[in-house]
Amino acid sequence: MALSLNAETLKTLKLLQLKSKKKFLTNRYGSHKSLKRGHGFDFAEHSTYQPGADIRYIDWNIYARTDNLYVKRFTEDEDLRIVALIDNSASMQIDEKWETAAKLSMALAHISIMQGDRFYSSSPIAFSTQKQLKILPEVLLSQKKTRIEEHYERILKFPGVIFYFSDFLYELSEVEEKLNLFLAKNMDIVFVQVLSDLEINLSSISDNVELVDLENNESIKLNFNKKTKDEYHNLLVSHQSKIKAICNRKQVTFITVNSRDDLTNILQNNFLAKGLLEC
Amino acid sequence: MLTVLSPLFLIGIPLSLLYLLWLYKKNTNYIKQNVGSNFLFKKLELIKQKKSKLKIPPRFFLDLLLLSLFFIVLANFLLKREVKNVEIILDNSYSTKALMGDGNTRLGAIIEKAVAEIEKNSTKTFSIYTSSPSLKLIESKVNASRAKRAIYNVKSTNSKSNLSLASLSYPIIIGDEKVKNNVKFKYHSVYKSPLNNVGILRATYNNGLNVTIFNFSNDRKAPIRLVVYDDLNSIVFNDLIYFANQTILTKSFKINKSGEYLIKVLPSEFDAISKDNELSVNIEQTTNKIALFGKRRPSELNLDYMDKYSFVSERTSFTPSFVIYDNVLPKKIEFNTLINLPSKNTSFFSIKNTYEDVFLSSINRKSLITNYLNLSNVKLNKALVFNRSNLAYPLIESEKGPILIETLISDKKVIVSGFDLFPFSGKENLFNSILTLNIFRELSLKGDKVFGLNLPASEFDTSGPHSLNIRDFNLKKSSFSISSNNLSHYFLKVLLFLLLIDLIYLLAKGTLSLIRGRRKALT
Repeated sequence: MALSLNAETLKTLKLLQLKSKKKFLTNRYGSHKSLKRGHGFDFAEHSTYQPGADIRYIDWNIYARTDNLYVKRFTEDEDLRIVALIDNSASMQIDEKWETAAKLSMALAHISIMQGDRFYSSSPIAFSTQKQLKILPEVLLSQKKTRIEEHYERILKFPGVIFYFSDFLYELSEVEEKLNLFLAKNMDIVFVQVLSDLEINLSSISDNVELVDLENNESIKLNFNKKTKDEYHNLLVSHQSKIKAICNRKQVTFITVNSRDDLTNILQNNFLAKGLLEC
Repeated sequence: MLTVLSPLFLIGIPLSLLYLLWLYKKNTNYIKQNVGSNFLFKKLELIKQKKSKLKIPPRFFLDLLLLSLFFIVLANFLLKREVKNVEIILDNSYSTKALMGDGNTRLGAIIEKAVAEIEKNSTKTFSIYTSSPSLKLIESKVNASRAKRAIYNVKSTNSKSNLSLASLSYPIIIGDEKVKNNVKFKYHSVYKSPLNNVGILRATYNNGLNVTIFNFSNDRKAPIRLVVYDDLNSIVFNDLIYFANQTILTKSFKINKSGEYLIKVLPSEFDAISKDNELSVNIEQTTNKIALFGKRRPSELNLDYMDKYSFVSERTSFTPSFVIYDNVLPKKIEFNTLINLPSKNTSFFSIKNTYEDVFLSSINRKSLITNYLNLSNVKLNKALVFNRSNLAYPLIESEKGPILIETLISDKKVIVSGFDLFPFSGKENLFNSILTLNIFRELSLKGDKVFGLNLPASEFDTSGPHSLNIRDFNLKKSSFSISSNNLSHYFLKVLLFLLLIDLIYLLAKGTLSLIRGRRKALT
């Protein structure tokens, strides 16, 4: 199955910009505020003049008032590293969950490259030009069944914003483990939970159903009625709330998307609304 | 009733349970559905398991019930088919002596019918019972010719007994037989109440004619038509008269001249007035008559001649069955007895020891009858009831039997025992002792006489059309019956129908799932 973004989505993407809550140190000029002080446009602070400092940045007005020499310091604008990691486990290979995650990755890649940032997807190779973007779908598809956990060390060499796409239908300890790993790499983390419509609404589920887990082939026989469906819904909401609580503690953004939803809608309703993107 | 303890039934229940469990396990189709993760579904399963350990759908219980009923019916059906003996119970009670319109007696008609049925089922064996004085087996499992001989020899009994008593006293299953095909020959009058009103007529030249009628019929609102003719056959009075309180009616009207009058009384629903409904009264003399008004025929009873009796005991086969004692203490109180004693010399309980199975009862003052019973005039001091089954009296709170009532009229003590005046047909009949009390009440207004009533005993309505009701003889029809109760029969039929639909549904479902399974296996 080919991965592509339709024209309307691409048009929307042109209007959007990625934001990061954190500031990072990189080595390339870009459009994001950096921690580095230097020769940017935005004034950052004054510092006392030290011999050898560039006299062009001496604030003469302050000198006139105080007889002390101060040097103006400016924030440097640098680029941002955007990393999109998709959980390639078997649970994501159903109901277009992986495809939705991949398309969202592509959308993020488009936005980041358009604003001059570098985009990484499950590999240490950066995507930074429009030309490179064209091969992104193939790269993503080639990684569809790769266990990326083994490559985290290579991928997460540099700090940046990480979008981690998964269904998060596993124990909270695993979620926390993953979160700590990314935090250790000084990443601005966004957890994107991609769930199918069946997992959210139990749509098109039969009354008597044998549910087969694709990850371990375990099956459960369940009889569904309205009460059971309500109980499932409560379980899902409870699980999501617990993940959200963990994320809030660590200042991590957590969003949930339905794989059946339109990509533009997901970007608008989830990413824009959460302040991850801006117009 | 159901043969619920039959072995087949007992085996059937666990078998049906196992069968249904197997069927449900086999036929509950779980559709396979792949999901990314069972993480939440496992938790859901745990919650459900905690809530109910046993996960059996409600339909399972319905099916179990239906299947159980199926086994009950099957058990009854199989057991009934094994029986080749037909039991015949002949009603040979006193009433069967009565003549029918064609000159034959009721018993004769019963025998004819029974013989006809024996001939129809000549390959089977027969057990013959007579119902009176109690249910008695006269022949057991004999062939048709011997059964016929036995039936021809059956005679009506003189004692008062009837089939309803007999069949209530004895269960349907008798002896070592598992299931019986009881054939009951019993008379049923076309009228529910062959006699249901009692009227007292008083006629004097000065006062005219006074009619008081007590209504004891089932239809308490039914009016009575009263027609009075003079000696020239001119109608003096002709009107429908209604029961004021649904029970008692009193009508007085003046008659201008003396002489013989003919009074015709009949229920309103009959248009024609036949000779059977006639009662003559002579207005010149003070007349005090009791007439028993049936729907077809009144009986006339002259009270006055009863004064002649000082000690009367009459018990013949066809004459009224009653005993009157005047100033005599009997050693044993007979059924249908009137005892007339001076009150000051006698004590009710002094003769208690001579009674057989006598029980003390009390008066039910809430009874509607007491509304018109003048208890100040007629004192009902004591009431005793014989220990005799299947009779009940609402006025006297006892379930025991024929009543023994002590009353005081003037200075006389009157004891009445079970005036069995009218034919019995179970609960529909009026209660005779109450009627007796009413008559006492009416007569006691005069206050100066003690009366004995020469009233006929039961079964006196010997005329009129009768139908012979033969029940449950058709073996084909009754072979599938598990209850004599029609309602439960129909209910069972509905359940069986549901069971059939259910089984067809399950079979279809099972077959489809098998076909699908094979297709899957092939592909």
